[in-house]
Amino acid sequence: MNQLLKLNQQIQLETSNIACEIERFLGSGGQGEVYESNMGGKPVALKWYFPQQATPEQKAALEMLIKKGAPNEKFLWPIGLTFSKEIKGFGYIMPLRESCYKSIVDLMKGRIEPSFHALAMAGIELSHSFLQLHAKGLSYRDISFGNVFFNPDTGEIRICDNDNVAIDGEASAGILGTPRFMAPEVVRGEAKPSTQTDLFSLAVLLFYILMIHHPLEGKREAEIRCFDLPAMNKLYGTEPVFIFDPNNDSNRPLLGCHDNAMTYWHIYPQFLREVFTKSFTDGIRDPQNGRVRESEWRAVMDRLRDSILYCGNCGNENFYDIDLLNKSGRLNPCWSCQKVIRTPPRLRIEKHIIMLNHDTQLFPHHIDPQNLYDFSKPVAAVNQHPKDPNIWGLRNLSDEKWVITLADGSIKDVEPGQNLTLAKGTEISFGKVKGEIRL
Amino acid sequence: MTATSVRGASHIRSGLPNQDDMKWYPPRFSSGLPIIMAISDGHGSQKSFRSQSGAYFAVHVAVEVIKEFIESQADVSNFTRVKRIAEEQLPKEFVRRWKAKVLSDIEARPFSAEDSKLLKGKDSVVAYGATLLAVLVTSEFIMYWQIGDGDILTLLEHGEIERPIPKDERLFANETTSLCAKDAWRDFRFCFQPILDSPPKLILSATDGYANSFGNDENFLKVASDIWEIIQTEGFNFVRRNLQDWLKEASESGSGDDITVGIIYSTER
Repeated sequence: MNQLLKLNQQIQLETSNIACEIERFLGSGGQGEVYESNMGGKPVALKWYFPQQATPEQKAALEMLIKKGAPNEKFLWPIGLTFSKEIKGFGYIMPLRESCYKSIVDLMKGRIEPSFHALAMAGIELSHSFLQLHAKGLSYRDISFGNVFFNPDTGEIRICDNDNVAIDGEASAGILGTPRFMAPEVVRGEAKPSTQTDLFSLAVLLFYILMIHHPLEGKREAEIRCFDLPAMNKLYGTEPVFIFDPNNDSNRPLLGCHDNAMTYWHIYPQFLREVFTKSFTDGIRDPQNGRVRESEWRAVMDRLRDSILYCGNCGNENFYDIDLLNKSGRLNPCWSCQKVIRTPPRLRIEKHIIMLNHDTQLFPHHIDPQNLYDFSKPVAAVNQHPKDPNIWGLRNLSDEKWVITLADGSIKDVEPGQNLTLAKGTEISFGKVKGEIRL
Repeated sequence: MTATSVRGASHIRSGLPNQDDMKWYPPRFSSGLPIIMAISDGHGSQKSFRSQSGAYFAVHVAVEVIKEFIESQADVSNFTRVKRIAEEQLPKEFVRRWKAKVLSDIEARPFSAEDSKLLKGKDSVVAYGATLLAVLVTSEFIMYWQIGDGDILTLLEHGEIERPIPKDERLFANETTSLCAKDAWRDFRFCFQPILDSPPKLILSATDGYANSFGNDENFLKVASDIWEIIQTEGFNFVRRNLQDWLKEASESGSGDDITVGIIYSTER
């Protein structure tokens, strides 16, 4: 039920003569209503504030955000202020979220089931985007799963509700949302939301996306009324305990209540578990030095993505856990069918190990240090020999020639469009970096 | 506010009890806010042989949880927070308390060997399977929660009729999301409506036996405006006195199922 604007109503853009026509009511939030509208033939989203939320402070914040511009295209950032002669208050327009982007609530509710690959991509994009936001001197202040959307097929993300973004350190003390995604020191009222507290919320969000569960909700959560604010403050503020804290088992997940956490935690490789453990132990005790930075998250999510391998029996995604391999000499059996997993050929580029699965693609990100996190166009792809299905190759999809050194020392060129055979010990010079095939 | 539940015509013929239930707050039908209204439809299939109790627990838990929730919110003007808690946290609490009641009921009245056979190896809470539709009206906002089938209709200022909670596309061919399902809290649907100038004139919630008694959705939607018109001409007490007969008639000539309807109407002009 929309109450603020009417369909077909004309709303003016503040800085130009262009009018927006209201076409469709999209939804109601805590601050206002969002409509799909038509701005000179272009579909955009328009948010209009409830009267009590249409404050001069909000307007000033929007003006600042519009002037600063979006950190990157993942943010559905305010483009222009809007007003109307007939209705008091104001609103703003922003890019429209395409329907392929689903809410994390859909993930939580099991309405979408993205692959681990898509989830890891979402993790890379999220940490990368927050790094860019923070680099502009801004803090998001209200990271939660209502604000992040992603494409379950690709992991591409869109970040909404950017009107609460503020210049770091200048944010008013206004507490937004629920305590569940806030840093404990914010819940306790000791700190204002900042880039530092965003890091904690980002860790909670990443944990949520990957485990489909909250990192602090274990036995203690099951013992309280979960909407009781004083009890929530204890859980998320004064006595937060990570459900997998290695030194404190008082808040372990309970069977029947927190099954997702219990299942997923053990599927992921040790390096990921270690970073989450650091985030929710040191990161709680020492907000200044104990938190995992956006760039670290990005590297971890990248490593997670490249660690994915498939079970040869059931086809489900599993992870290459090198720490486990070094310790016990083998990987865990497939989490789904319990059969032994055979590792595919791997490509080692410096310290980074990439699984060469039947569908693996390499991007500029992998082979060009000047283009890290560029996943726009593949530069290499694994493929099968057309005549002998036992032979696998890596096709050069880039515009550059590669030079390979085979195990016997012979040297060959791999021109764009050509293949090299995945054989043990083959070294590939991609131009800026070198890689080595391992079987 | 008023609510009525009638035993379905086919239930009467086959000797089945009314497996719907309802509860509201404040306990006596009165005016004033907040108002909480909950209705539930016990599945009534063979394996859900205690769904009458399941529906009873559902409406009691819903009213209890919503009442505690709204009384514990010191600052309801923070819509963002109140909405998030209501949407993310309350469904968990509904399910948790409903399950606790079900488990203690099973302890007090253990299943017979025949009962267990009916379950066909399914989880014992399935015996209590039920839906839940709940509405909270305060002076600042309205909230709606729903799991399983059933309908909530609102009649707006200019006579438009809307479903605040869109139909769940996963509900088809008598398959329904239910309080008894694994991770049932995930299946709750929710809607938050702040009250600005013109709150809905009428909110009608009904178990699916009602909509199923109409030939098509259009005719069913018209019920909300028909009832509103009757309130205007004959007064609300007339609706209150006659609602049961109307529902009986609908069940007899329509679905044959139990029907429960709750009506909240705005006295503001």
